Amino acid sequence: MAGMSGKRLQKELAKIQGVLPPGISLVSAEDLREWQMDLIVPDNPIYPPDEEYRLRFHFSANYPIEAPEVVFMLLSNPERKIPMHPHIYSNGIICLDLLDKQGWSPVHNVESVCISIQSMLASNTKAERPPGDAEFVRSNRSRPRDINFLYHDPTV
Amino acid sequence: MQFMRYVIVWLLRLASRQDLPAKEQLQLPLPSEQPDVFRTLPEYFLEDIVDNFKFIVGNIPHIITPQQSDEIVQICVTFLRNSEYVKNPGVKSGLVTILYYGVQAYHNHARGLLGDLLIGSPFAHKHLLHALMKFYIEAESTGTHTQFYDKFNIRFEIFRVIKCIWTNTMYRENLAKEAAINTEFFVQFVNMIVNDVTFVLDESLSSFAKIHELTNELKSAAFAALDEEQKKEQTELLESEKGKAKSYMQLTRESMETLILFTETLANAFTMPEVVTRLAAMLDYNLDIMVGDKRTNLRIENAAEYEFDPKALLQDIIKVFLNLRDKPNFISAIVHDGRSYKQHNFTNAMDLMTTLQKLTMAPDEIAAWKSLAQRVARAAAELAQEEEDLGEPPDEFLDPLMSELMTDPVILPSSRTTMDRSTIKQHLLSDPTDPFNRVPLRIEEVVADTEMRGRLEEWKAERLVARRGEKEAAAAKAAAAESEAMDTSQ
Repeated sequence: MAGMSGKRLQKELAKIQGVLPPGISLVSAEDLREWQMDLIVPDNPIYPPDEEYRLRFHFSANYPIEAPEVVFMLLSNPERKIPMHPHIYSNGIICLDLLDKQGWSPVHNVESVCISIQSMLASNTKAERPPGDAEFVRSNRSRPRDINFLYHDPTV
Repeated sequence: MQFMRYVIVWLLRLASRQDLPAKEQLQLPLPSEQPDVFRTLPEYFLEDIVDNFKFIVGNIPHIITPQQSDEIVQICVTFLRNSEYVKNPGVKSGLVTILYYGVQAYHNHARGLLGDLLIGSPFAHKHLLHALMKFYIEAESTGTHTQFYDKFNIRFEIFRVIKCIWTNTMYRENLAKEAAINTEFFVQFVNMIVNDVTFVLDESLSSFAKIHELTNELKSAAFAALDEEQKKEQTELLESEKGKAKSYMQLTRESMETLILFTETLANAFTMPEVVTRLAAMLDYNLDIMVGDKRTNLRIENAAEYEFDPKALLQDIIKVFLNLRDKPNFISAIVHDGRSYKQHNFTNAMDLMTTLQKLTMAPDEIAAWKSLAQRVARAAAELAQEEEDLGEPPDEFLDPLMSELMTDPVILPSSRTTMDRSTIKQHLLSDPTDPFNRVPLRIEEVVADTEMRGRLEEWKAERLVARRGEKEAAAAKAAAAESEAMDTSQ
């Protein structure tokens, strides 16, 4: 079975440690299982230009065949909030087709996922949480990849 | 009871279109096209049987006669084997539960009501194992709202039944046969077991962390200040996490113990290329969790409450390693695992067995582990050497998705990209399209890139020759320098 050597992630890490698009930075990558990235959203009044958001990437043994698990992290030191977006729950879970079984392709990588999320935030016009956010956060027991989101609002 | 018997035989007759029980032996699998009569039958016919026998076998098994036991086994095995005939997932899993209760000991029946029958009957020999494996795979998604727990319960019960029948070596042969003849089916089965063990151990540990957090929260002043509703919610959340942790742990132990049984006698099947990589990676990963740098995470209060026995679990993991130690494929897979393989984990485990005396292992097991650790270290050194010798391969020889040197390059007809066959095979299992343009693709459509393969082999051979040349030149230089030094020191 391919991919067990970790070479793909090592290669991605080498590239990320070099050059990244503006507003995206590597925070930590101690092993080939969990990485953290910081993200700034340019040119959108909803998101202050100096407010950084923390993304946690978790890779299974089947990456990149299987999508990474990507969530926003809520931290107090340094301070990191969960950005307001109709597809981002207040517990950091992101509703994005790219991260889903149907929408993911192994051609994507950590960098492209960051760019997509950054773009999703940059083009957002509604500073709100998804409908049913409180209930979801309170009662959700599933891992993000096991949740079947209904992508019924393509305008956002 | 008599009525139940009539219904069982009648249902089997309808489903199989055979003249049972007197004139013919029940033939499985059932016809792939369900007889209309059976298909249009309301499901409560089967449901009633299942519910009744679940109760009886579970609580008052002594009232069942041998003849009835035979019929119960027939109906359970038949509808697990042909689970498409049954629509309700609860009914399907009930069939497993009946078998599970049937192998629980009671009174003077050490192997339960049905154990001897499952071990001895020709009908069971032919169909039971395949039926259990099939339903194990199907349990991945039951479609119910309690899907999460269902999966664990079903798999746990299946393993218990397998444990019981394993004493009959014929079932070991059956499993070997499945591996040889229904390879894809076998591979799917093993991969799910392996996935479960990887996933559940991880999840248990994060459950434990949450339990710790919630327990502290419930003791805090902030909690006391909440209203009744909120207090109830948090308490329920804690109970649910505890329940989850316990389920996870039970399944982990059961899965590992089943793997020990399987790998004891079927080392070949479990080290075939299609499963060895994932199996080795799971073992490396779990070994790392148990004895690696982060192992302090395993300190749990009241571990026994969740049936978490780290020593026993580690021993199980070690036993599976030992069962497969003679297979070169396995050693190779261990060291090729870039994510979790660490040589010092083998040493750490060794310490726990010997100096620290934390684990009780037999002397020959300890010796075997030592030998395994040495062989693994050697293989790792050889791999490192080989990679160093080859150096950085030209980009075109690297798989575009895995960045690994290709061994069997194939061309995808639609996007015209070249990648390794193993990569596209793996991708197509979860997404039947060309990853570069999403056009539907089947594995049969890819074409071997013999031209690239030729160039790749040539490049490898050249590199190794060049490297050998470099080493010989360096050695000669060193020897010359030495002899020069000797000359001048006269």
